[in-house]
Amino acid sequence: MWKANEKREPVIFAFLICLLILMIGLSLTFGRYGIPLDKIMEVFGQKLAGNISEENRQADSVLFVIRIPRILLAVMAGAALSASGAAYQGMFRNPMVSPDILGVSSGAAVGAALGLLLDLPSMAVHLLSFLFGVAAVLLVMFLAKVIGRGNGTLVIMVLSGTVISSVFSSMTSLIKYVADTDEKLPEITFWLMGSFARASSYSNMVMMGIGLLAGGGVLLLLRWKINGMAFGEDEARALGINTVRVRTAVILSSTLLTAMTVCICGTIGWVGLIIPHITRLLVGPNYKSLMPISMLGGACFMLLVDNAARTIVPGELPISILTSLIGAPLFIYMLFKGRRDWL
Amino acid sequence: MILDIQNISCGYGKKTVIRNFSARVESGGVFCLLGPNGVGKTTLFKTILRLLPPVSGQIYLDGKNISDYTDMEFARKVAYVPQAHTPPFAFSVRDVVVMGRISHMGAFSSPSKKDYETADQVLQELGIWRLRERAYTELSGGERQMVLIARALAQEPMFLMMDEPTSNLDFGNQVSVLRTVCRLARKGLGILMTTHFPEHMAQCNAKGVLILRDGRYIFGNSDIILTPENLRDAYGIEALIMDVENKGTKIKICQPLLEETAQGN
Repeated sequence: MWKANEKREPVIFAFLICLLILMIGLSLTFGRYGIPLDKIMEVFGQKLAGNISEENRQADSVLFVIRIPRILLAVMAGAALSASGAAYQGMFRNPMVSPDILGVSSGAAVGAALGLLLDLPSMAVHLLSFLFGVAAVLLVMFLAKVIGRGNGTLVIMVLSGTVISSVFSSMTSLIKYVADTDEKLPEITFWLMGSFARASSYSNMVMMGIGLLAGGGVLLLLRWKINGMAFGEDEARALGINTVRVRTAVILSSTLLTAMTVCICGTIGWVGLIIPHITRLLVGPNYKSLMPISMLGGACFMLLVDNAARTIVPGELPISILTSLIGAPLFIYMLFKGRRDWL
Repeated sequence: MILDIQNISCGYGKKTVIRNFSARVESGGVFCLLGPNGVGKTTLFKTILRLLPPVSGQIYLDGKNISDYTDMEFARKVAYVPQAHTPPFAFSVRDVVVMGRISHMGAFSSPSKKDYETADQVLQELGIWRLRERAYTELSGGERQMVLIARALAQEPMFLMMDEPTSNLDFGNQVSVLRTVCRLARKGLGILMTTHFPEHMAQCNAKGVLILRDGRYIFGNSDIILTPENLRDAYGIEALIMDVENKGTKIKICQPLLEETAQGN
């Protein structure tokens, strides 16, 4: 476990980068259509040369149409959720905070359910889901501003987030209730459980990439401000931090990250809560290393979960089932090992 | 440099607790804010730190209204030393101190080598270099208070705002914190501190103000403020004030008496 006098961040950072590259390589081979590593190299070589041999056609399409977008999407989603969870935990000064705290996932779920109910094309479902997710958070921020009148806004924000989340959850339930039980209801239910299978396309990958670059980039740049925010509003201001501006930037970036993930891949719980937490146990609370290492760790974890999702059972297991089933024991193990330093 | 508080009234929302308060605090000295609980010391303190907007009146720092400063500019002139607390995360002492450099860094920057050097220098000056790699949450109350002073000094300010710097500290740590306060004032810093110990005024050779329960203010040095009458009007107790000679210097002893006063408490 982390001790303040050990400098092992660079080692962990390098290890995770190697692990991620290794896992991406291995993930390419997994699946119903197994492709051994040497064949992957061969296909890549032929792709670069511009002529794919006849025998490799199928491998080529499996790799480039299905597997690569899916793997990269999982990697980016893991990084996005972890970054937004890490930022929120610092800003709300509570290690038990998850990216959903201001209602973004519940909002995005309503948007998606509505889109599916109305039989909209998939791009429109993504868009509606994204907009609802962002709208839920904006509503929470507006409520906190009106109720708080500038004082104690963080607590009021968390409370407003809880209220808005529950309102949006009942709206999702309502949509499920009126949905056709043979077709729509299962579709909505499966969507909400999260999956990278249906989401794997290059356009989704590019959208996710832009979201991650923008939101994750801002959070990485604000690392030291988030450090200061962890000491509370008053102290952060006295340290010279424009807390209103930093808070707004953190919330908007985190919302962008989570809404983008949820609107493309569905609701994925746990990752944003446990990955920053586990990372903190390993490298300490300084966001200088906590933020990038959380993102790398989240990427590895999500890829692990997705590989499990597509290999454990024939067909496909929803992601959110596995994030808890794999995440919970890991988390408990880390808490057990780190219990002395924690709290 | 002068912190000029002009006719300030402050409070939360519609409730005004401090009315028409004026004071001038100069760098190179200690200014104590004394008064009973609930009289509005903290509110005044927060108003000076710009954490609360004043109900009326102005505060000038170096001739410029404090509301005209940006957060960064203000933090480079005035630093805040809160009461020793436990944050939710176990930052290392060096990380905590280097956070005092945020006001000297760009909006998106990380601390430079020079920022770490400044932090290290402050840790050495305060004699807590040995703590630098410990986790802040594992320190004792006295050590934490020193680290918070170090963080404030890393801001390289002209003024330190200290909120009851000796509360919750044991006898020895109270003295070591107070000694640091006096030394920093001699080195040219202006220190504005709230305290519950009237003797601190005499010990730090401070000027200050005593806020009485009826809302009046008594300004002056320890000879003016530390009288049995004033302490009775502020705290509702009887106190014995004595001047004692020790190795040629005069020291003031302020001993509260446990017997009930005529006016009651």
